[in-house]
Amino acid sequence: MSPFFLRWIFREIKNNQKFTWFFILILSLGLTGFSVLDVFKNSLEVSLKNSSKALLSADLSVSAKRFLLPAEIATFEKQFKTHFEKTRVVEFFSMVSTEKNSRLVQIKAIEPGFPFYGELKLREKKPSQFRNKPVVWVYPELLVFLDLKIGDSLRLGDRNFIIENVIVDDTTQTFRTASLAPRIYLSRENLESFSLFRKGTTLSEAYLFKAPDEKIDTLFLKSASEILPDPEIEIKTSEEAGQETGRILGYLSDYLGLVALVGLFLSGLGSSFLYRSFVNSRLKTLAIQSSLGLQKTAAQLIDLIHLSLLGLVSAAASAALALLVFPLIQKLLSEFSPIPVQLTIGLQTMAVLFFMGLFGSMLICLPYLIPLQRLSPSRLFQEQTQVKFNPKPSDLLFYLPSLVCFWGLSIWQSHSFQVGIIFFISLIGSFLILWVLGLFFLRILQPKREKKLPSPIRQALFYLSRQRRSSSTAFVALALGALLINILPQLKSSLAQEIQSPESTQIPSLFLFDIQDEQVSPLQEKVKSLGFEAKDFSPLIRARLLEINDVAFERANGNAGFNTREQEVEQRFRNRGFNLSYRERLFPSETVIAGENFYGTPNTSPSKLPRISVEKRFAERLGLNLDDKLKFDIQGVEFEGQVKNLRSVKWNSFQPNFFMVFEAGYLEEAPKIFLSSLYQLNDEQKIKVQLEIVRAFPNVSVIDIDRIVQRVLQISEKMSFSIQAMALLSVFVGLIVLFSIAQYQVQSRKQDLNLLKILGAPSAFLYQQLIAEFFVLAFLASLLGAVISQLVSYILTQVLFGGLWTPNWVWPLITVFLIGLFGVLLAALTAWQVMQAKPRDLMST
Amino acid sequence: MITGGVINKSEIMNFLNARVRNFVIISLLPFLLSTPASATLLQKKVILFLGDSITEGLGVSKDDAYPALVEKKLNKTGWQGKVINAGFSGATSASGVSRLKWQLKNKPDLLFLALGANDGLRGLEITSTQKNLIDTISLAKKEKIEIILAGMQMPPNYGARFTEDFKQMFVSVAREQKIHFFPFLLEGVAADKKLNQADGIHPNEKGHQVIAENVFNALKGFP
Repeated sequence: MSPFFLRWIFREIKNNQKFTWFFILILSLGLTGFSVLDVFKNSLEVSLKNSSKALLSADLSVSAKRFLLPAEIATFEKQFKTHFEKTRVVEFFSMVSTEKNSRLVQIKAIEPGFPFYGELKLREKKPSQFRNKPVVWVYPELLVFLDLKIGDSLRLGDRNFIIENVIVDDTTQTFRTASLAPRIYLSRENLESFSLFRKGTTLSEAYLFKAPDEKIDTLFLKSASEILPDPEIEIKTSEEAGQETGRILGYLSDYLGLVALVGLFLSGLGSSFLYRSFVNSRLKTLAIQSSLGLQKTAAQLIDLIHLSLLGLVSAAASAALALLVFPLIQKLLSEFSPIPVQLTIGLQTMAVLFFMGLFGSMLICLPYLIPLQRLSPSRLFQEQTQVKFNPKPSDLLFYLPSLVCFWGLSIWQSHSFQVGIIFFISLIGSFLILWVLGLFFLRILQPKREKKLPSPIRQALFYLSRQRRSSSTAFVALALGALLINILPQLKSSLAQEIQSPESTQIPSLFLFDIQDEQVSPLQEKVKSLGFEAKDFSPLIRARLLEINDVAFERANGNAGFNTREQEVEQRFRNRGFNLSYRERLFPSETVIAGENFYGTPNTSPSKLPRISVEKRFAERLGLNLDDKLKFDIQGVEFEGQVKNLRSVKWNSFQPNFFMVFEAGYLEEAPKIFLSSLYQLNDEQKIKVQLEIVRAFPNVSVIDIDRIVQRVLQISEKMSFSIQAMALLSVFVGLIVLFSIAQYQVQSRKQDLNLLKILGAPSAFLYQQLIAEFFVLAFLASLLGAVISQLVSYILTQVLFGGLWTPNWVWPLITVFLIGLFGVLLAALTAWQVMQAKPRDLMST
Repeated sequence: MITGGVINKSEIMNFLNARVRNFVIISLLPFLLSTPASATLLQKKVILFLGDSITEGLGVSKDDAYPALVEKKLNKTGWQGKVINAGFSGATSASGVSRLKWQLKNKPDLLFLALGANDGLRGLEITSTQKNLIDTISLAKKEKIEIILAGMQMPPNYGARFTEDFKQMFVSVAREQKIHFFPFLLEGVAADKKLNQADGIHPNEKGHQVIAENVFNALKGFP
């Protein structure tokens, strides 16, 4: 590069320091934000996936309700390209007995290595004979139920075992496996010569695998299920084991991807606005240089090198910032975050930073650089205070590369073609809407002559209206910025609604089920006599769904058999029968999202059929719509109802929720059982209540869900923290970008203000005019951005988060206020600077 | 696969117990099938199957569940009655009385009582299951409904003592209540992979056909 070019570039930088600093600040902030979010997202995903892995205690499991054959496992293992660690677990129910008592237990026979993830926390820290001797580890409640202590023996099958230790925490217990019986762990070697295993034994065996670093993808699983086609064999990944957590983890991942994109888009928006303003301010200089003989290609080369240099400096600044910020964030997170997040900036992140800094800045600024070729020196002779450049419609084509790049990034970050496109289209659509609305509003702002407005305000509105082109750019940038910083908190509040669990006081400790109709009152009395209250009594009615809109739902199979595993699973699902309930009101964990909220209202539908509320995802699975007529078979009696609303259910509320709920008044006489829950019991109270209830109502099963609830709460706490932190980070970046845009726009008004000052305008007039102008601009733009953000967030929640949109107007109002305040403060500050400076100095800048 | 290569003492005892049980059942059958069946089957107009998920036909269609198959078989013999499937997945014997009350409006005249398996699987006290079954039978008797009690058995992993006590409880209830006894609902179906769904517990379509055939044969024995 010739020294001439370099000197030129450094002179550009020196003469445009404000632009240079803002450009580097915004771009480096965007890049730092992107890298922090990317690293944070990956770290979070690892941490949360580990929580899911703990539920399965492995990366992958192959299980069946029988002993798996060595040949089956050998065939399965051939799929692994590398060595997977392996361990086996056998589970079954049995009666355990002592001399005085007996009790149902769930036995888990394990091998070394179990669990690969999660832990079995033991009460006594002492050397274990678990692998070699007939000893067992038991859940604490079993000691109370059977009046035993560590060191005592119990009988399983025809063998005696010594209780060696007590399990105080078991991360491998899921909601589904929170069974009717306490668990006993023993070493798998003890199963040899066990008298319990004969024909007819019901057990399940699982081979658990720990993957070294190989990714277990869906493709692999598909081929695995083809290799082991026996429908008895179930192949499961840790993500599937996470069930609800897995689904929400997917949401969280999408959300964090969007945060990173929004951050980057904000940064691109800010840089683009600044560069456009910078180019406009240099048009006169460029025209002069051109008239003096500087070739256009040379001028553009200078601009490109200038941009590259700014991009590289921004990347270097963001890398330095990241290196500086990561340990601080790490420290902060270790204090506040429930997740062990490991933030490290690697070579790959560095490479991405520099690549994006260099080429990203060029792509963003391309639309303003290339059309400059048409700039003619004749512009210098036009009667205008400023040289202006008239863009052509074909100039829009130069936006294409950056749009394609952003579209690609959207798909990469969201891991989904569909989601990426929808996010991209939403933003581009919003941009166009804001642009059109911006021009419209700025046009109608022009005050009518007959309207009596204070002079400074009238002047401000005239200015905004007449300078529509330059005002509209700032308007769109501010509005789009407001839109972006509103989307994430809006998505966050929708997602938080789904993720956040109620307070621990609202979460049950014990679940009671199989309560018979006639046992409801005596059970309530019994629990009351123990000093507690049984709540949430919910009837459960078994029914078969016979028809939907007079079309048969169940599928008879006879001797036909099944062609595929999927076909069999689908048919078994259809023929499973369903649990119905009825209620007079919704639970707090339920929200009607479509149709009528019929609870407590008279049935005025023409059909007079009982009204049914169906859970939204269940309705999707069955293909149910509002007003569909359903025919059930309830214990031999046919019964019809009509879908009148769709409901979203917060399943982690731990309340007894049902997929299909009838209105009260129709099913009360049907055979049913009741479920109930007891809240806020400590360990001692739980055991006392269990013993008393089982003694008085032997058929009533009591399940202690405390362990599982606590674990689910920990995971949801991690997720809530993540989305809160991410939303705050993006808002912080967004506000800085908006500040820069507003600042730059205000600065561009200095010369006009100076002219007014020279012409004798009083200082109060200048203050009022500028403040009014920027208040209107910032307020209108942010208001419009905030409103459209609601629409965009609604679309995104429909696509990404299963329609969990919850309106939230508090944050949009705060942003409108903040951005309006920015406008006013910056305008006041600039007016003050103009008043302080000498007119001559201002004219020379 | 875990299998014992040597016959140990407990296996011998199990074998002997099984022989004794079979003897008891076989010796009871003539008595059971000759208990006061005052009406012929063809005179029974409404047969009520009161049971759990096996009777409900969990995983198979209503038409493939054994009560519907029994009805088809009976219809072929010229029988013109009605079969009600009152199966309820997860039901324990405690639900017997209330569910029978709900069905009384259908005026059943024959009750096929197939409850109790879930009691055993959940390790409930056998005496409590026994009491619930007797309460249900008493209500049926009061309503002049003839009763067939289906026997249930527990998988061997529940332990020899429990499985034996559980099985014998059904025999003794049938004997004490002087009602018809169908020794084991899942005879020829339990533990047969080809006749059960992937969960290894619930019969598939073919399994239901076997149960239906067994039940139908038992009903044919009605005088």
